[in-house]
Amino acid sequence: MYQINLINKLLKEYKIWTLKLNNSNKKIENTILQKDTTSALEEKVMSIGISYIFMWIVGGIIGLFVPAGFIISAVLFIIGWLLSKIINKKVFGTPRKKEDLAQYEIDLLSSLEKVFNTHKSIRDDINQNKVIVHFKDYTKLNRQFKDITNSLNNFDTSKLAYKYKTKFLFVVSGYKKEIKKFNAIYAHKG
Amino acid sequence: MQDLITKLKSIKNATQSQYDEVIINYSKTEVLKELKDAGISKDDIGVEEFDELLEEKIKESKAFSKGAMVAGGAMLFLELLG
Repeated sequence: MYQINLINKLLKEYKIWTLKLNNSNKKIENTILQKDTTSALEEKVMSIGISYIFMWIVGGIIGLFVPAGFIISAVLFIIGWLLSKIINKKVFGTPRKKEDLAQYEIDLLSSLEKVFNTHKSIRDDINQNKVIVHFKDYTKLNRQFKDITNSLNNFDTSKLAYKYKTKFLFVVSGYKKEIKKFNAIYAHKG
Repeated sequence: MQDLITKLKSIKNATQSQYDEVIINYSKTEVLKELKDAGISKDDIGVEEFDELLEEKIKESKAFSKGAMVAGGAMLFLELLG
């Protein structure tokens, strides 16, 4: 009885875990595609800040020699605004299309999708009572995760903007946590 | 996600809390749908775990709908500048 209860509990945890794995996948994909519209707002706030600082610093220097009036300040603000656009592109980047990704990026995304689909298919089989022996093929599934971890650790983030380079480390660490949970559930390892 | 963005864009003169309410309701529906697809009933999942999934969904929805929310209130000023 204890064994049956334990298996039922683990099966339920496994099904919930598949949702979390999918969330983790999406986060990695959205980071590589630089898809986060909060950037639009952050960019604008940063642009105003940069323009304002630029106007005051350069305006102050010019002011040492000639009186800097409204027109000079306005021109400096506009120059600062244009400069901020260049800086923002490096920091926040722009959304990327899947077809514009490098081959190694496409390969990583399709590996992530393939691994998720494997687990989705196991989950569907559980739900349709097609499985006689639960939690089999652990070695094969664990190997897939080891390969993915390797790809994530060696992933070249040079094509990403600074914001997404930092975010990538964070989302990868989230994915690795899901792998640990997988081991805890599927192989019942703590 | 496009449904949510369309819905947010269609709301005129809403307050931040009204936008948040739309996002939370959308996220709840999505999480329940995902649970159903995964063969999990709401009773199978603990409150903490449900809240964790919901929180994730809300974060995701907010990240992708901020642009649509720019249409309302003070953020419009920033949008006009850019």
